[in-house]
Amino acid sequence: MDKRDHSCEAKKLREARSQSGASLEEELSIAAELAYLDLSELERRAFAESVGRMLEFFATMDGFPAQREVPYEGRGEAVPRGANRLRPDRRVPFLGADLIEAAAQREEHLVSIPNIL
Amino acid sequence: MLDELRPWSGLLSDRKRRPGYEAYAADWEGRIGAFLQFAPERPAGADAAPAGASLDARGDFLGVPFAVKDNIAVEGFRMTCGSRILENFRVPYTATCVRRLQGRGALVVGKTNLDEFAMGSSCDNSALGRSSNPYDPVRVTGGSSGGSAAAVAAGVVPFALGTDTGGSVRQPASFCGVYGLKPSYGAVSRFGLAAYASSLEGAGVLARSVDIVEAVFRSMCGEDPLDQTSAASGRSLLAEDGPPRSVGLIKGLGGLDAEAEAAYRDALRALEDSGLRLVELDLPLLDYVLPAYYTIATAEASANLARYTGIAYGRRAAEAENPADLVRRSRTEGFGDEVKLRILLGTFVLRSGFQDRYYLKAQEIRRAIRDELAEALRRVDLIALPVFPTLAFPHGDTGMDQFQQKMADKFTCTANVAGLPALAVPTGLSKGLPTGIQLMAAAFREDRLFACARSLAPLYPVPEPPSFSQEFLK
Repeated sequence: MDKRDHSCEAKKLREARSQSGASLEEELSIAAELAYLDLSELERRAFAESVGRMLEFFATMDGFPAQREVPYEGRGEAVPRGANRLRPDRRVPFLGADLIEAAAQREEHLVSIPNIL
Repeated sequence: MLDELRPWSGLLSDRKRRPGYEAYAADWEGRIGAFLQFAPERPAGADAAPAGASLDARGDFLGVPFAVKDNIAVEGFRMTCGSRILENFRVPYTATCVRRLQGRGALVVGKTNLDEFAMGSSCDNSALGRSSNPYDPVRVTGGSSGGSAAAVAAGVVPFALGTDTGGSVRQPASFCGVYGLKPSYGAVSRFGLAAYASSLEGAGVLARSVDIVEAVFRSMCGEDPLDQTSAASGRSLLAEDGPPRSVGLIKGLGGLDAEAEAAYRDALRALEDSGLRLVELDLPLLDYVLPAYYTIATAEASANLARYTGIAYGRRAAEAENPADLVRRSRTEGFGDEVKLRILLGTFVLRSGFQDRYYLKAQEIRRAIRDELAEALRRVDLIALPVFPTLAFPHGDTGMDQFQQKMADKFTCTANVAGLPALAVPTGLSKGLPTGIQLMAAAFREDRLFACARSLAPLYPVPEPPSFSQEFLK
C-alpha cells in the first residue's frame, strides 16, 4: 500500500468521525471511563493526538480485501448471521451498598481489604 | 553441560571467584543499568530443583547463573514489570519456564529492566530505571527485553530470559549483538508471565551462543498443565530433518537506513555462500501485518491490564471516595503514558460500533497472513528478514519517537501474528554498533533456525563491547 492509499483511508476515517458528530476527544473520554483512567485536559489532548495517529494507521486495514463469508446454512440460530458476539460497552458496577454493609471490615463507606502480598 | 557453560557452574558459591564477578557486574551495572534487582549472594533456584531428580537431569545448568526479565515470575524476587503499579509486588510463585531451568540446576541471579509491561522498543519506557547499550551508553538497548540483552552482551550472565510480543527479544538482541530466540507460540509455557497480549507473546532466550540458546529452549519447552495453550510434548519440537536448503526473501521490503540495509545485504550474501538457495517471495498481505498486530495487541492489553486495580495487590491510591474511585486513582497514578495509551487504544477498538472495523478486521487479516506464511514456508525452509530498520538509536528525543518505534516493529511482529519461531542472529558491527539478521521458520521448526545460525556462526563471531571480559571465570 502506498502513501497515497494511506492518506485516502485516513481522510475517510476523519469524514466518518465528523459524520458521527463525536470528536475524538469525546470518544477518548468514554474509552478512559471504561478503562478506569482519569485524564487531565492536557493528557486528553495529548492522547487524542496519539490515538488519532494510530487510528489513522489502523484505517489502512480497510484496504484488506473482504474475506469469503462463513456459510451459515444448516447452523441454525445459535450464531445469528451478523450478530455482534462481543459484549456492548458497559462499566461493570463495583460493590453495591448492601455488599459493603455486609463486609467483615469497613472504614467508613469502604470495604477494608488487607494487602495480602 | 555445554563446555561454554562449565566455567559459570558454581561461580556464585566460589569464594575465590565471586568477588571478581560481583566487581565486574557492578562496574557494568553502573554504566548500563541492566538490572532492576541483582542478588548474586542469594540466587533463586538452589532449593527449587524437584526432590529426587537425578544429578544427570539437573546437571545441564548446575550452578549456572542467569537473568530473568522482570515481567516473569520468580519466587523470592519482586516482579515489577517496570511499572510503578507493581513496584513493590513480591511474587509468590515461579514461572514454569524458570522453574524448568531451576530444575536443571540454573540459578536466577537477578531481574532485568524492561519497557513498562513490555510495551516499547527501547527500554526507555521503564518507570523504574534506564538501561543503556553496552556498545555506546548514549544509545538504547532496544526493547522491551533491553535489560536482558544488555546483561548478556556485557558478559554478566551467560544467558537471560525475555518475553517477545512483537520483537521484544529479537530487537534488543540485535541492538546488543547477541542471539535472541522467539519460540513458536505454545512451545514454551506462558504460566508466570505478566500478560500483556496473550495471543502474541511468549518467553524467549538471549545468549552469546546459539548452542546455549538451543539448550535453554529445549529445557524450557513442552506441555504445561498450567497453560492450556502450551503445546503437547508429542509435537515435533525436537524434530530434525537435516540442514535447511532454501531461504525466502520477501519482495519489496524497504525502509531500512543505510547501515541496516548494508548489514542485511551482507548477511544474505553469507546465507547464499553457506549453500542456501535464495528464493524471492511475494507476500502482499504483509502490508497489513502492523496495523493488525497493534489492533490485537492493544485490545488484549486493555483486557489483561484491567486486573490492576490496586485492591488485591500492587500500588493502591492513598485516598479515594469510593471503590470505583480507588481503582481509577490507583491506575491513573500507577501506569505510565505508553501503557495508558495502549489501554485507551485497545478499549477504543473494542468499543461497540468499532469492533467490526478494527478488532474483527484485524483477526481476519491475522488468519490470512498465517495462511500466506504457512504456504510460503512449504516452498522454503526459512525466511530471512531484517530485525529493525535502524541500528541502536540514541536515548530520548534525538532517537525515534514512540510512533516511529511502533512503525519499526514491521519486521518482527509478523512472527508473533503468525505464531512462528524466529531468531535474531548477530552479524558483526557497523560503525561500532551491532548488526543482525532475523530468520523465521514454520511453527515448531526451531531446529531449522539453530542449524542455519550455526552455519553463519564462523562468518560472524559474536562481537564484544568495550571492556568486555570473562577473566572472573578463571
